[in-house]
Parts: sequence; C-alpha cells; structure tokens
Amino acid sequence: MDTSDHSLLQSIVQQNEKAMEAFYHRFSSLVYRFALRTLSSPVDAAEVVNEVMMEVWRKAHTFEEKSSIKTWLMSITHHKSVDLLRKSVRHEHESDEQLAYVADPVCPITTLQEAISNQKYLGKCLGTLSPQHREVVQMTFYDELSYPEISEILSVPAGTVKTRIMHAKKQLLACVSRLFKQEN
Amino acid sequence: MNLSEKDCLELLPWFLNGTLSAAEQQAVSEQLEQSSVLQEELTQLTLLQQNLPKEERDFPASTLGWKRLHKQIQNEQNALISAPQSSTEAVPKTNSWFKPVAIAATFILSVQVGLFSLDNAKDSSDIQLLSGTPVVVADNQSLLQLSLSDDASWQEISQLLNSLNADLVQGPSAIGLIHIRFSVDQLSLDGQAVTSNQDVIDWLQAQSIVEHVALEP
Repeated sequence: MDTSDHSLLQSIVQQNEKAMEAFYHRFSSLVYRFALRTLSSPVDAAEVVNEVMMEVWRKAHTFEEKSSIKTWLMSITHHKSVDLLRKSVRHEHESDEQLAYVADPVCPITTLQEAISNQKYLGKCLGTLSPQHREVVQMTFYDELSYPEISEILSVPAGTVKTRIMHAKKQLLACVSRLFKQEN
Repeated sequence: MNLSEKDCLELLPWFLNGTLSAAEQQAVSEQLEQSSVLQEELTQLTLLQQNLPKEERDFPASTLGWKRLHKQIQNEQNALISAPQSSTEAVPKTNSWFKPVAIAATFILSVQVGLFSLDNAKDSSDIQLLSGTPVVVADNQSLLQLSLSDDASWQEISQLLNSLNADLVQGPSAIGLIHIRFSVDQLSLDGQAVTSNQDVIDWLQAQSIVEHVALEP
C-alpha cells in the first residue's frame, strides 16, 4: 500500500483541490494509457481521463481499502471506456466460446521463437486481438497486475481472465508465425 | 498447495510477472522442474513479454487536462452552493408540535414588539434612514433631507444650521445628502415667525447654497 496515495485520497475526500491536482498529475498518464488501449482515440482517452478524475473527486469516499488505489482507478477507467465505446460504436462481441478454437501455431519451435522475438510482428498481431483479449495481455505484461486484480478491474471471474490470456497467446503465436512465413 | 499441470499452465503468465501468491509461486516452481510442456510455455511467454512493443507512457495533455478538470470542479461546487436544495433536503422533518409552538412564539414576539413600540412613542420616534442608521426624532421635531452646492463653505452651512436651530444628524452621504433635525417651536426666520415645516422648506429653497430639500416622512 502506498500511504502517500492513500493520504492524497483522504484529502480529496475532504474536497482538497491541491490534493486532487497532485492525484491528477500522478495518475492521469496511467488512466490515459489504459483508456487508450480500449478506445484507440487519443481524444476519447483524454475525455475518459477527465471523467475518471471527476468520479474520483465526487466519490473518493467510496474507495474501500480492499484493493489498491491503482486497481480501483483502473476499474473505473475500464467501465468508463467501455461505456464510451458502446456509445460511439456498436462492437460485435466475440464470446470466449467463439474464440475457444484457435489454430495452434504450425511453425517449428525455433522458428516460432524467432517469430515471437520480432517486435514488429508482435505489435501488428497485438492489434488484431479482440479488445477483451488484448487488454488482458496488456494488464499482465505492461501493468504487471495479478489475475485477481484483472478480474476485479474487468468485473469478470478469474477463470475468464485465465482463459482469455491463453487464447490471446495462441492467437498471437499463430499471427506471428503467419507473418514470419509470409516474409521468409 | 497442489496444482495440476493444467492449473500451472494457466498461472504461468502471472508466475512470469511475479504476482502469484507465495503458495502458487511455490507450486508452479515445483511443477516447472518436472514438466517440459510448462518449460516450453514459459519460454514462449518470456519472449512474448520481452518483445511486446513499449507503450507511450505520458498523457500529452496533462496540464491542460488539469485546468479543465479544475474548472469543472469549481463550477460544480459553485452550482452546489447557489442551487436551491431539493425539496427533500430543504424541508427537514419536524415533529408535530413544531407548528403550534412556532405560531405561539410568533404571537408572543409580536406582542412584545408592540408594547416596546408604544413605550418608545411616548417621547420620541425612531426614523430609519436609507443608510440604515436610526435617528431619534422627538415629537416636536422634524427631519429634513438636504443637498447643498459643492462650493458651499462651512461658514455658510453653519450659519444655515444656526438660523434653524438645527443640528446635523447625518451626512454628507456618498451622493452628497445631509440630514438635519429641527423644531418649528418658537422659530423665526428673517424676522418672521415659522408656523409649519413648509415655511422652513420654502425658506431653505430660497437659500443660494441649497440645491434640494425634502421632509423625511
């Protein structure tokens, strides 16, 4: 637990604007980056930052110390981003069942390892994942969150988080293998 | 903690990012030593983790964003201060005895104020000027509002007040008004006896330094 984050939040509960400013500068990048993953639009992500921080200002008192402030903030961000996405675009939701079958990579192991090591391929393939799968990968490897934290942020069972990352990994491997074969 | 190979396979991404509980971490480590499938999976995940493209970490509009949020916060607070409270908040729950007690208290206060006013009216009356300062005026006295010309000297003003046996009770105000108190009893102006307030007003209007004169009600 970061006590300074907690004391900031306590001051925000008391409607201290200086504390809110410090909180904003400390966490706005995290919120922005996280929102941008879902929304892809910098303008929309900036809008979500504003909405999330306004929610913090209004509802800091609702924070329960069951989770970290970061997890709480990311959970708010996730829900705000999804709401905005639903308002702007009607996304076709792929269920985990629909994505259950993903072809295993057919490359030999050494080739596969070479393919994964190519950052360009990985970047391209990450963009082909569904938002639900991509965000689990990002939360695990970029944000270094535990699976219970991801489960809390996304409001899905821990089993779903595990399933999603397994499918995401399979898709990524299949994708980088295909790209590798095309270029070699 | 006993975990199957399948369970460990599912936990490997978090084994790699170091967020498993100590018990889970231990169980996965033990399975890893025995399972080549797990070892291969871990190798792939490690490569994946190492080669994922880095993200832009900064929020480009941080300062502007805070200014916007700050304005929004202040607007909301101002709205909260100025907005009338909702009907549910505005009317606090009161007990059934509140209304009759309030009526009785109002009645008692009215009687007391009435008695006090009657008592004061015996010898003098209070006049509340627009400036908010009460001025005591006896029954045989009157209060006049005057506006004097800018070039009037103190000697001229003093002479005017002496002629009327008046005293300056207030002023000059921001718009140049003064208030004087006088009595027509045994008053004579320019050798003629004064019988009413109107005589005084007429005399004042004839003075060169007086621009405006009016009797306070």
